[in-house]
Amino acid sequence: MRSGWLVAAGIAAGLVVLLGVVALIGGDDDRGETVSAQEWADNVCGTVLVWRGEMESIVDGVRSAGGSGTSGSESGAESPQGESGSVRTGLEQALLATETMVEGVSRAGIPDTPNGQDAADGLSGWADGAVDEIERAQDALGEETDSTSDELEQLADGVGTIVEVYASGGQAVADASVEDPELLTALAQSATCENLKEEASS
Amino acid sequence: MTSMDWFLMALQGLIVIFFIFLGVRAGGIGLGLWGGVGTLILVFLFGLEPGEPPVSAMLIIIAVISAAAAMQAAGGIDYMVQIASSALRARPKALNFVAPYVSYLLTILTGTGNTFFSIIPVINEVAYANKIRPERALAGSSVASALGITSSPVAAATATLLPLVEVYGYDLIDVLLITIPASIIGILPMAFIMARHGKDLDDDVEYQRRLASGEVSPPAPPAEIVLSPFAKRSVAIFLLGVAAICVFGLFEGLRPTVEAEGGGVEPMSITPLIQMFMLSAAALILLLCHVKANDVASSPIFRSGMVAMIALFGIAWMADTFIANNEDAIVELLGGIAENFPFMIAVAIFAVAALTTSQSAATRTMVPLGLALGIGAGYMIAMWTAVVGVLFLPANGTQIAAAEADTTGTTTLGKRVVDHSFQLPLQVCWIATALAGIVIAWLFFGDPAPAAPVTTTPVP
Repeated sequence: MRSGWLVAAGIAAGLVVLLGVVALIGGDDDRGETVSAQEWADNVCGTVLVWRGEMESIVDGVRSAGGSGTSGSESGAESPQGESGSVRTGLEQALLATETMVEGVSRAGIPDTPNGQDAADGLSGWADGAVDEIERAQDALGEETDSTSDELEQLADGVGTIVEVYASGGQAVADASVEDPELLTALAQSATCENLKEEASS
Repeated sequence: MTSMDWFLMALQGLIVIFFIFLGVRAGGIGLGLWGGVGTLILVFLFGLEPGEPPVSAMLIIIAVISAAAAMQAAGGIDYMVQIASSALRARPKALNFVAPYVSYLLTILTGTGNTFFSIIPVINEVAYANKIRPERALAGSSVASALGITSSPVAAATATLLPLVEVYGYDLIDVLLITIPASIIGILPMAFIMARHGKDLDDDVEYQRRLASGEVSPPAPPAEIVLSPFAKRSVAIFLLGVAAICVFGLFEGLRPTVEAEGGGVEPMSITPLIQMFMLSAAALILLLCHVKANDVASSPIFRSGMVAMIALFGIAWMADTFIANNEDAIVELLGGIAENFPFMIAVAIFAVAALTTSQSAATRTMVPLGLALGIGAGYMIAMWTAVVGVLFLPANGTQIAAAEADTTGTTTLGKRVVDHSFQLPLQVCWIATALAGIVIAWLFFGDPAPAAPVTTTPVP
């Protein structure tokens, strides 16, 4: 019995140590603070790249679900109802991923360059807009339709929104920095931003 | 989500837990049957869409158990017990350390914890023959096997993680250089604690009751086991089957190709290959070891495997029905906690894995969040090992199969849902592994992601 309590106490102590260690290493929140242009570039490009990876997998998932329905399969997505389920799930996942990206962009802070505030605002505006777009598509998908063709149109809009938001991700960082030569230099020197540039152009 | 939605989700969660509770109290196939009732209520009362029953896992259990049961009917299990006992003669308790590492390695090589099914009967029999409380080796090995997923280059969860951390300069080798040593370190304290956990069989009330009632025979000393003429051959065939799975698991290029969803071809999944190799091993044992098919079906391993399969069917179906309909809300809730309290990210990964019973879902949703919170990618890889939390609830196939295989009754699914045999090794292992991984990431990888801010002047 005594050893049982000792083990429980050991596990609790281990958990406390883990939480303490994570508190020490984690959570770099520069929201509202100025940071070096290089750090800002690394952080936002990393966040957007991770988000693009997630969106790519969501787009693939929605597309393959749309085409993988087999006749007689209850879970297949051949019918509008089945496809609606996969698009709905895709939109939910896209919203979650985009909200995470918004959080990452906010935490990246403001680059310490002449137009840093504008660049940060521009990128945040794009990120918030992406969330709004997906939410609008979600609402539209929830509306009643009169015919199958209307429903299919809704689905196409839903898929289109995911794809459009995904495609806009790479350009958004570049657009936000276009009027700031110092920031452009930081972007050019960041390996993460180079990756993003290559990803976006491929 | 409205308050009503949250209330309904909580109510559905309580129903799931209640039926797991009823199932573990009933034991055996009761777990599956009550799981079926739970699914019925979720679908009819709450209008949820039924989830997917774990068909792949069930088919793997059938195939693996067929091979293991055929080997038992040919006397192969007795031979393996003799060999293992002979190797462990000086220190039989070393089984508590060896078995988890073997299980861990098997998962690494195949990328799925389902291969652990094949050695559950062997671990159980070796432990029992050496009068070791089977729970010690079985529970620790189940956890180690699940942990092996995060160390496997061919696991689905690793494939999900990789693109997320590649952005920060971590490739597959880097991931494995963090997760493998961390897991090896993490398994050690778990095995150490498990080697001392619970009463010895001679003092265990439940085991003594089963022994007295004749439900279980006393262990035969390994030296006194009389081997059947084809015992060695059956073991060789079985091990060849396992080796083939490992080779095809590790080297994707050897697998037959199938049509890919997006066009082109891709290597076949390892799941059907496991089924094919194990069924073939069973057939070869029948053919070359002169075993009658009826003897396979009446072997103890076959019986416990089938019970485990039914139990898994009902309970995992119920869990998936709940999860498939509520996954986003669960992730949103736990993600919100981690967002507000970033130090909770490791616990949040563990909790998402526990509540969704999916390592891939926990990876897909929580790792990007951790990265967005500014936590270094190396540290996130270390904490990603917390996806072993899938064993938190006793709804996993390996847990059910291990509990069912242990005829001494020491390995249990608990009485209050979370007090099962796997909880202690799970908690020790995930915390130790995450901590070890963080230290490794700090010592050898640093944190290339967010550097310290140059200026931190608040903007007016």
